[in-house]
Amino acid sequence: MELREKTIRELKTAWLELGTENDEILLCLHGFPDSPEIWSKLAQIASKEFHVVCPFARGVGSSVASRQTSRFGTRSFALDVLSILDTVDPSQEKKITLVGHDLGVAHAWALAPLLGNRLRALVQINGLSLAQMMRRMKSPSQILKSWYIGFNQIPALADWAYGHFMPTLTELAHLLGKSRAHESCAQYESRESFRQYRAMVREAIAQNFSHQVPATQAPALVLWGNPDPFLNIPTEDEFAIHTSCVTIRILAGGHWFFYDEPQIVLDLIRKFLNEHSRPGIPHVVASVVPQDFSSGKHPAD
Amino acid sequence: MIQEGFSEIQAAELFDTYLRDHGVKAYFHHPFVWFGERTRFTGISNYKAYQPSERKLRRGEVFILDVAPILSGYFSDIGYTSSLGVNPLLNEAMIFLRSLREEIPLLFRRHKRGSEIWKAVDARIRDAGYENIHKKYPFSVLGHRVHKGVSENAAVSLLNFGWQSYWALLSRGLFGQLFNAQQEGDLTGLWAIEPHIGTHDFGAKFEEILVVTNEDVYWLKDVYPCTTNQSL
Repeated sequence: MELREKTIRELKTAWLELGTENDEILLCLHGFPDSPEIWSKLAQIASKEFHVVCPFARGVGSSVASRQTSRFGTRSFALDVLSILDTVDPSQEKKITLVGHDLGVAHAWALAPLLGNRLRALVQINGLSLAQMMRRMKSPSQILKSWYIGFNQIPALADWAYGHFMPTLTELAHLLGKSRAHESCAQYESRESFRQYRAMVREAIAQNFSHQVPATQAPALVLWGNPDPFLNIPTEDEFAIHTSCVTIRILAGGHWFFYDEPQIVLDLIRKFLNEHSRPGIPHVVASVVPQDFSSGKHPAD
Repeated sequence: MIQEGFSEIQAAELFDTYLRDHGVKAYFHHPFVWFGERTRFTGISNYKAYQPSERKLRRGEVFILDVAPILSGYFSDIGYTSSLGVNPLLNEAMIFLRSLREEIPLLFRRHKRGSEIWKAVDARIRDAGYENIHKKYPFSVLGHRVHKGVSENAAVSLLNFGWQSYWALLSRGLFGQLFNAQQEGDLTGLWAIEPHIGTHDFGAKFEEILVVTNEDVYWLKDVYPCTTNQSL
């Protein structure tokens, strides 16, 4: 994938790009503790039909960190991505399928309403919006699984831990999530990217008081690798605040299943886009379809 | 970045994010965003209604962005009008506003009293066939003074105005700080001048800092250009 850079509001910001000749954008937002490399396998096969764009989150690789915590938040990152889109698609005519994983889902939901009619669909992979996460803070099991969010708020301690042990912590997180993705994602510096959690906690609290929740008319596809050591399985009612058109598919494979099964993920996305390509098509009521790769049956069938 | 379907609140939040990313921590007043008929204050009957709403922008409609950030202790205030797509009527209104912008410094050089300047601007607007919308502002202000030296801490606001604005105006006696039809005092200093005109469909305005000294009167932006995108 080609590395591209641009200065956006005085900060160098980077993204990876592939398949620029195609007419539709697949905009992939990675999570923590990853870099856009996590999308490399999906991007390679998707680039035959999509213009794949994978921004670096703030504090990862060439998307340099900022002293301002707010620059790590969803609102600021949404502005960054809009600026990236101005560069990769100056005509603003390409439709966008927005894919988020982990923290990338929080960024995706902040960005989705700002894309207007350009947004064709949102794909949510093992991640939650800020509003969804706030609602989950009533669940003791989710609070336990999300212990690291609290840890990341501790001044100095979190900075010290990630400053000294980032590669080790990344490897542990991937192994816990049943993935070996860290073996190909260690290339980029990302010690300060945990500050996204600090920015997002502040935003989530402010959003809770203001009752302003991002919403979109575009359909949403939720792909969930199960079991996930960090997040409980989603339920239909969690998505009503954001969209009235959502499909949920639970697949065996863990938090980073899309890295290990990119073809299956792409096939599911393609099928979803085809199902929602005609105007007037009835909204699909959220359906939870358990799938098991071991059965030999392709989940897209 | 503003697109069809954006609400005023969304646009105001983008505005706020953009400014805070550039170091703004406090405001004289937070972003005001008005779309369509709200650009001429149709449907606005109380102070709260001036604030950004859920009103969504449609293609061809006029919008106004108005914000007063505080940076390094300095107040600023800027207003900008445009439309989403081509709007020939807005183009005409902007031509008139450009001519008014040229004339305002001349009015300051010609008249000693603020009330005379206010009435002259009011007459020019009505003679051109527009409605005077800044008459609907609190105290019917055509503008207000801007100062330096206020703390940017403790971002507490009321009705979209930061505590710094209430302090800056009230501690100096309020009425001498406002440029309206009752303005009679000394005019030297910095003024944020914001003529706002209206047609039956929409309103348009600009807002810039006017420097008034004993020797000269000029728009601050003409001496210190800050952007290549001109609001007028």
